[in-house]
Amino acid sequence: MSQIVCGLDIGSLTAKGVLLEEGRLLAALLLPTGSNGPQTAQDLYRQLLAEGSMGGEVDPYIVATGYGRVSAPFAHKTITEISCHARGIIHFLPQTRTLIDVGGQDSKVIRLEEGKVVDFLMNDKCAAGTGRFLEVMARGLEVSLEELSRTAQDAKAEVSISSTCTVFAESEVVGLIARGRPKGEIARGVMSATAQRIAAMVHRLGVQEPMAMSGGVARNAGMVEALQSELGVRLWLPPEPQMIGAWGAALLGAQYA
Amino acid sequence: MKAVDLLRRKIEDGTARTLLTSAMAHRFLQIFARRETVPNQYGIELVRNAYLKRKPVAFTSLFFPPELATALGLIPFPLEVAAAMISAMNLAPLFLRKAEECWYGSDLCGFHRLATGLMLAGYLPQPSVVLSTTALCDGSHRFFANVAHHFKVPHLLMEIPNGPTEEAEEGVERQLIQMRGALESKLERRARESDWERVFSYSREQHEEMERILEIGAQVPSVVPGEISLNMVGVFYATAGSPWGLRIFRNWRKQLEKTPPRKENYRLFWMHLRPFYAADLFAALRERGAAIVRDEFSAYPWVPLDPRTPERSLARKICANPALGPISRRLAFAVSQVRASKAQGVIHFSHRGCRQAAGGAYLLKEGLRRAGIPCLILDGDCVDPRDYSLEQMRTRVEGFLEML
Repeated sequence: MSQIVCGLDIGSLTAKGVLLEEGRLLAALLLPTGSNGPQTAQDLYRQLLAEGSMGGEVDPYIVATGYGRVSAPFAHKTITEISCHARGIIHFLPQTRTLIDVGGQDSKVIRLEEGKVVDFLMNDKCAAGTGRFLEVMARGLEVSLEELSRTAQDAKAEVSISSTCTVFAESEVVGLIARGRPKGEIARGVMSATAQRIAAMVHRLGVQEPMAMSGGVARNAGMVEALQSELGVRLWLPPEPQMIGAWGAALLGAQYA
Repeated sequence: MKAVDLLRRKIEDGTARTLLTSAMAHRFLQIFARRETVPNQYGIELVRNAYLKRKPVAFTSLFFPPELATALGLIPFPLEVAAAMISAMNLAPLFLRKAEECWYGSDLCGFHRLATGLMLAGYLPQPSVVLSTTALCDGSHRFFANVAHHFKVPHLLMEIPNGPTEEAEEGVERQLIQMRGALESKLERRARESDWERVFSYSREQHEEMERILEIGAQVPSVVPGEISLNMVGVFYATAGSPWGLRIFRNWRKQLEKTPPRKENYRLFWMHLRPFYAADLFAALRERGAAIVRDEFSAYPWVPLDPRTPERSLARKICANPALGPISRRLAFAVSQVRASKAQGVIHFSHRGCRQAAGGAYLLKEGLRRAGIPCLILDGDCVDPRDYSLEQMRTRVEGFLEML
């Protein structure tokens, strides 16, 4: 019988899942995590089975990851998102030596050697340098995340955002709007501030190429551009960067099943 | 109910201050203490002796040699250890808030802020003297000076040079002679050679017990519950030279000899102190089969103490601390301890207020990496739980274990 594995990545903002059969993708799904993590994990799993046209008779090996990994008690194993993102990116770009993962709640830099994690760093326990920071800044500017990215890329100049605290930075943004600074320049300043914070983490572990990026923030073109500019390297992006953790969980599941 | 639970309840309802100075309450507490662990019994007796003023009290810093105070008939009352105990009882926020209300900045060392909160809330006994050193801790001499000022008692400070050179030991010896003279005049009591013999004998025997405990920890699989060893560090330093020190560590060694081996997937060496409130973090480590087989401060080398030259002996003991001096000294010690305890990796808990530990952590990590030893730096506060998130810590620790 062919091996079916399921990877669930229950993040702070979104829950992602993939179903694989012998390494082939059967289904992939993303849901908002919402306030009821265990229910979301259950729904995600059921919908994955339905989308993969799996009847009641299949019993995939399930690995849960992400901050909400404990919200999936039906999983056979829990593995941290550090190992899962590393495994996931190695599937798509085996030569990766540095992975930057920026999610809703945290950012990580993972150093890899021959596909294995040899070191990692995570952001301080605050929202600076994470997707949440960008969300709050977009709210302050009264634009969507997509608009934040686009206006930042279109801007010819940027203003400096000096506060690292998300709440103070939001006040700073509101103050800049009140002083009539163009939204695009502020948005670019926001991207720069976030990129500087993440780049500092990369420098602590050493800039080693090829460098890839995963997590929901990797879909933000303005942010990727700011990071590339800050680091002076080209970042490789997998096809669905926010799904890498779930992919890794499923692939690691195949090793344990 | 356990004595510690009773004390916690009384602190929470605000009646503990009165009870701490009541002989009747202490007799009552002693009955409850019989059910407690030996280190807790020590804590309860320390509190009783200090609050009932059975002997003069000396507030001491963590690396001050308590043998000097004990030989002179003082009760060494280690303020940082008291802060750790309050944090382990989950009472820290109460006293941290008290200190912050009185303008003590939240970026000061948590141990010192918490002890300051205890002082301002009237929970510390009246000392006769404050004794501290500058060993390792950058902020402690200011903190202890402030405590002495608050209680209007003398503060005797020893400046500790970096490293175990002959010159450094001579300098510390001179200060110890001066300090002993000042204390003998104040207390009108002299420490005789027989006092030093007794105190040093307890100190030596306690250290011998610790060496056996370290050997037990090095066995594979280890039987030492590392989180408890990390609780014992402060007690080890605070009770050196007293019958309690010997009793606590002899009892601990005997317990370990009877402890069956536990499932062990990972062996870790811990550097610096632990977060005292975070029992859940250590439970998460246990769940993963991660054993903390040794820690930095428990493994400090023994220096023979000669009662005929007590100040010189104590000076040698102070200067032998491997964390004094350049970071390369601490690194070499860490590498040797990792090898000796057969650990696979190192967790360095960088206590936020501790400039000398957090500041050198990166250099340690790099040095360990060059020696082929993975190291995880955990940033946090040893006693202040208000910025602590188990999930954040768990991800870092579990990610590190998976990497091993």
